[in-house]
Amino acid sequence: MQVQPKYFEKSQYIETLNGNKVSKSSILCGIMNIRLHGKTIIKPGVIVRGDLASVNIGRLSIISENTVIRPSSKKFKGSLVYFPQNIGDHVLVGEGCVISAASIGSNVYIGNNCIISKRCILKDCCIIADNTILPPDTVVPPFTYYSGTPGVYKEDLPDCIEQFQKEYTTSLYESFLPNTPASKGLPSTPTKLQTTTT
Amino acid sequence: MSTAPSPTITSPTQTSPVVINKSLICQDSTVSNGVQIAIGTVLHPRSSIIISEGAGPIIIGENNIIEELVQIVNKSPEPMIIGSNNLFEVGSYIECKSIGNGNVFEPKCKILKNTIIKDQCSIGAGCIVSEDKICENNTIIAQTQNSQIQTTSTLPYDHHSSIHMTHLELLHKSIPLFHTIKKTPILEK
Repeated sequence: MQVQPKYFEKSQYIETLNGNKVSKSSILCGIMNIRLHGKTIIKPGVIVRGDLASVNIGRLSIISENTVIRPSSKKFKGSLVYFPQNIGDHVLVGEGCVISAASIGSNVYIGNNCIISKRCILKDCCIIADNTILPPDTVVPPFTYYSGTPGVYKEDLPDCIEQFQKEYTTSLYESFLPNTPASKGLPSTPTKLQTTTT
Repeated sequence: MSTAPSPTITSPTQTSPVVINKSLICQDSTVSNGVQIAIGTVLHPRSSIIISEGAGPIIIGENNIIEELVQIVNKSPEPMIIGSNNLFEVGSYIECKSIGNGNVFEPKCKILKNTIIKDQCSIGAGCIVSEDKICENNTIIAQTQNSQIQTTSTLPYDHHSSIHMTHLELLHKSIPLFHTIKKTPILEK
């Protein structure tokens, strides 16, 4: 699958040594509690609440615009406790989601405008469709497709989804490029075509 | 005479309860002029309380929790009154006339204009509550695939009331460590 290269303004992103690309207009609260394992893209408007509890995000994960990642809370021994949140490798989270799951496995696809409620557990290799609302304490088994409000099991997924998701996220990461002079040369070709047709 | 020293010995060993004597408004949140916020209310970053031009004030009571991306908007000329001990979760949109005490608004719910919400209600995730609706005490509204369910029960309020105060204490302890807090003039007398 060929992914069109997407260019971003270099001044708007911070690139770390591990290859993380974090937008400057995202809000990362409590940076010491947020661990990005490398090659992760965090897009503008994302809020990650590391101040409530620690957040781990795996390699080659992509968090799209205006998504909120906040650890979930539970009543424990009479008082409320926020507990750490783990997000695996090759996870793609769509736009406008609210993620307060306890853990998300690897190779997971979450569509746009989803609500993953408190203490949900998403195992490896599952797909959550757009506009899904998962109720609290849901466990999504591996290789399943969930959709609807409330989110319920719809169908099984083939084994190849693991390989597909790995290749898709790596190609998305590799095609997410900074604005270079070479990319500025690209729009000049259509204008040339226009002049020849007129 | 012998009873007098005993309280002085026991008091340092007890863990002192958190005294909530101010509201926490994070620097990243937007609050319009004319909004009154009572003691104990917590505003997370990126929350917004907005008064449109020519609209009435917004009066928010004690001990509310307002999470990220919540929008509380007043567009009508009348004042908008919100009670105490309410929980507004991530991304909810509130435009209603008045809200009572002890309500829970789950993520991304929408309350449209002229709606009145009384005490101890629970609005489910992703619900859109229609205009001019009156929710009586203990109403639960939940969203399914293509319809809304409305029942009355006290269960969600029992759960909410059991954890709300400890939740507030935790936030009052942890949020000032990580965020800069807006300094607000005290209007209460």
